[in-house]
Amino acid sequence: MDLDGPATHISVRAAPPMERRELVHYLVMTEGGQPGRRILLERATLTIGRDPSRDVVLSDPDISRLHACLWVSDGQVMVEDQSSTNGTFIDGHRIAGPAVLGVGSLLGLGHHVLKLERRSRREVERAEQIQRDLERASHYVQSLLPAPLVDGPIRTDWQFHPSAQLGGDAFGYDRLDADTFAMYLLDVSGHGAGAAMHSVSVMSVLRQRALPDVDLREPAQVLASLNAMFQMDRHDGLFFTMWYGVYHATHRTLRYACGGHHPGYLVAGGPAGATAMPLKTRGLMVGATPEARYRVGEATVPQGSALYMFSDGVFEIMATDRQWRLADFIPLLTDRHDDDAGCLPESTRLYNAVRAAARRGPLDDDFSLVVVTFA
Amino acid sequence: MDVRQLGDGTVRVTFIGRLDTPGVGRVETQFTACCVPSGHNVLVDLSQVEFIGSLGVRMFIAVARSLARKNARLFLIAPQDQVREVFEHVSLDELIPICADEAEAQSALGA
Repeated sequence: MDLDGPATHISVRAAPPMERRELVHYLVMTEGGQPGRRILLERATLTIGRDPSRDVVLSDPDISRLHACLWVSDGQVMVEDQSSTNGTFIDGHRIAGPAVLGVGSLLGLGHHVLKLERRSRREVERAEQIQRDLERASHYVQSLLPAPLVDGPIRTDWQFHPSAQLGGDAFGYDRLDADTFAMYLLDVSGHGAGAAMHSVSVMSVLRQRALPDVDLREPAQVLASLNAMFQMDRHDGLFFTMWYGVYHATHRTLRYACGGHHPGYLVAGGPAGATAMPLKTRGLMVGATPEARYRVGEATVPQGSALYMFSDGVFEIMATDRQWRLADFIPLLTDRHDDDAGCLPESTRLYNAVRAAARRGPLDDDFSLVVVTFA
Repeated sequence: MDVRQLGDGTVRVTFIGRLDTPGVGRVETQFTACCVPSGHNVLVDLSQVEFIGSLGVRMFIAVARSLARKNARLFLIAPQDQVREVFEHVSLDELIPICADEAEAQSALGA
């Protein structure tokens, strides 16, 4: 499945119409301001730079006004730096003089990276249609997410950044009655519109409180009922992981259950100087087998505590030097300094910290993080 | 991916590298095809797998369930720490046996 983004067609001079099956060259932006942007290379010279008069204008302070030129010669794409300040790179190597840009090679200019592809217009049209469908699915998922709670004894803020392939993340929270507040985050195995549709189905069941004979205040009951309802055999081989918790205000307790999900984390009394306590129970992914059993854990919630629920896309990132794991992310939860307080929402602070650690370019998976604070 | 048939018909599969989305995309069809139709027990050597994502977990669950319908079993062997951590998060051992080495798996098969 090709998941590239919308095309930008740059026609430098009038060219005869090409057959839709004829293979043509495209530059596809993989890093920079418009990931997925597609630039069609016709036979004329193509200029790239920061100046608005260029054929391809890239707004980037590290790109010169006229940075590089490209042209097609004997079926090959050639590139030449135009005495730019910061250089032009092919697959990480700075070029000097005209150089061949091979299909699949990465062209680096400033903070931008463009990959050369050779494909038919028909293939590109198909990829663009898939991308549009994914964007629609992504918008639909986002429209179902709850608004942040900014007033009251329980407050929430969150980040949801779908990956280019659209994962199956979703989350929600709701007051069940005067004393209890439920919250969950789920992650469907797989990517694409199918995974997103599955997460929407689960979210809809929970939003409408449509689990038969289930007390939504009982986390293990909720997961067991979802497990019976969403067996992978009947749902295109899909299952999901889930963290589900219910806060009881009177007793200041949080009861929770995991369905194949990594722990949620409770940071008591605010992040500064505190420790992050994992809230984890054993339990299989929801939908993986009818025999799955779920257990409940319970934690006391001190005043001013924060609960963190997140998907694996938050920590399974490729850092500049290695693959991250959960243990690499957890210290960030308590790495807040006093002068950070009030500057940024907590979820934004963490998103920025993960992006700073990750290698450049889009994240591989959905980034979903919910922070619930208890006054 | 390396596939070998042992003397008793058991299939041993060795994966190398990352079982992330593209990695699973490359091997899933072949893995399923070499494991499920024969209905033999399958040992999967994970000692050279450095990362596994949710699609990799899903691949093993799907094959384990298919084998179970044929009275055969799937064993996961010698996962590295990072892979073992993922298995622990999803409680995979409640569904698929995870063994330290091949001898432990063979012992479980013989039991």
